[in-house]
Amino acid sequence: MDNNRKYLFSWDLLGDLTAGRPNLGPLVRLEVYRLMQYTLRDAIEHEIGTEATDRIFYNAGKLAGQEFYLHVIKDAPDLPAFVNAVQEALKNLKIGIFRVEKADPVKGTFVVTVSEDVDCSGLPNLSFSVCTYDEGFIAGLMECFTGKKYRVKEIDCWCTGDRTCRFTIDVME
Amino acid sequence: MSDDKSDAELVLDVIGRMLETGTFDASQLPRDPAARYRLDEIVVAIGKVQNFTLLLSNGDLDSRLEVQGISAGGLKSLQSNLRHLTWQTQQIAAGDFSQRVDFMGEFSEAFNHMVGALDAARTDMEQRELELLALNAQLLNEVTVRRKVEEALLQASRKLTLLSSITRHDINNQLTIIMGYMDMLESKEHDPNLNAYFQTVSTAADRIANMIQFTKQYESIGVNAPVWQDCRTLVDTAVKQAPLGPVVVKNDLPAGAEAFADPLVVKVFYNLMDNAVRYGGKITTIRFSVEEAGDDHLIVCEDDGDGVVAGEKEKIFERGFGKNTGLGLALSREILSITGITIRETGEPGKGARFEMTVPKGAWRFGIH
Repeated sequence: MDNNRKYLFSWDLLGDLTAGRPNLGPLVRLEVYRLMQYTLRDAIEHEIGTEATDRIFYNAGKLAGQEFYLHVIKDAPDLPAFVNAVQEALKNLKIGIFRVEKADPVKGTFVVTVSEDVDCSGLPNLSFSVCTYDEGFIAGLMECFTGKKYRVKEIDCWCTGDRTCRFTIDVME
Repeated sequence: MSDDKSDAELVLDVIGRMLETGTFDASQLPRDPAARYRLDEIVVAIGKVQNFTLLLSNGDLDSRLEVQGISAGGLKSLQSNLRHLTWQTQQIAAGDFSQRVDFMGEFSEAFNHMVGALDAARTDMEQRELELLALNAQLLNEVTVRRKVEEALLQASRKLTLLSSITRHDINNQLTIIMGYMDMLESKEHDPNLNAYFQTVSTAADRIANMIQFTKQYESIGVNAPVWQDCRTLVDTAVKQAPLGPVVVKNDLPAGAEAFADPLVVKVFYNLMDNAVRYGGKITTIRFSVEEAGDDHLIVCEDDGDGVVAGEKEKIFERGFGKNTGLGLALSREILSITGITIRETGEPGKGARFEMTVPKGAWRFGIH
């Protein structure tokens, strides 16, 4: 990978919000976030198709998850501490309400949910799940915590008529 | 199929019955095929929701609901919350008291309060465990130190016993030589004025011998740890050893009555019997019994002999007092004092002696142990 790319991500790109927004502060309406995401998806899909768009969003989410673990979650000593840290962080940043339904660290399989998800809660029923970015985000978090790679799939979404987004997490052999 | 009702009414009837009973009358369906098709979809969805709800209410958290919409979504959200609570409960059972529940109203409050209380109780228990461990270590150390002191004392006691035994033996040897030569001198022809001197030397030698005898018996007192002893058995044992002659001993001490005393306490009972026979005069009977005195117990030894003269009730416990060695009651008082038991004579002169051994609370017990 070419590390001299123009848009190579680093945590610094989040910027100094105090200096940058002394009057408006760091918060933005959720609609603005969704406006940017879904128009961006539309434009990318128009260029390269649905499958490639989903792959891009998954990878972007994964990169975000990895950076999030390094800079926000940091070192969690065990699974309970990791879950607590993720719950608190997602709640405080108003990304969603993260919960664990099942966890088998030995087999490397988990089922987690995110309620009031920032991406989809309140959206109309589209008959397909939309939280591709979140899938990658969760995969990035898990990879940094365990050192193993995971496949994350959203199986229930607000856009499929559910009220909670449910994700399966499986370790990749 | 009813001709009286419109399709709309039939649809409403089917839906109403389905919601109420979970069944519908297949003969009462709308005539319009499109309406029938749509009604069928609704009825199937209602059935799935009802089935899912029943399973959920019975604790089945693994069933899937392949229906979309607000009602189904709400139920699936409830299922998700229950699954999450199940996982959290498992974590708490494994000792993770950091679990908290958010956004579930009153349940969140109650759950979080319970976990907080469990956490506080566990912390308190761990603290107490640490304190107990520290105390245990301290006690262990004290026991170790005490054992070393006991061993040192035992060693010193053995050395002292050996030393005094050797010293007694040497003194007795010299006394024997003195008395032997005194006898030889006395048997030779001599100035009668010297008889008084011979008597003085002989008396002095006898006193030295008594002192030696006293130290021999005294050094054994308190050497071994006190033990619980059956008082009735003590009397029976002493009876077999004492020279009673025609004197009868009545043992009215109840079986199971125990006193905490020096292992030599049987000598006390022997001494009492021996003294009674030796000094009792017209004595015929010695009786042992027990009386309660507040929190204490009195072991009473009384006889029908001459009794003890009024002015000598304390003197009889002095070393050297009496016609024999003068050591018996002095030693008895020492033996009893090891565990706080006192002895005194309270009889009426001329009507018999009465010795009361006061056993304090804590040194007396009764029953099977």
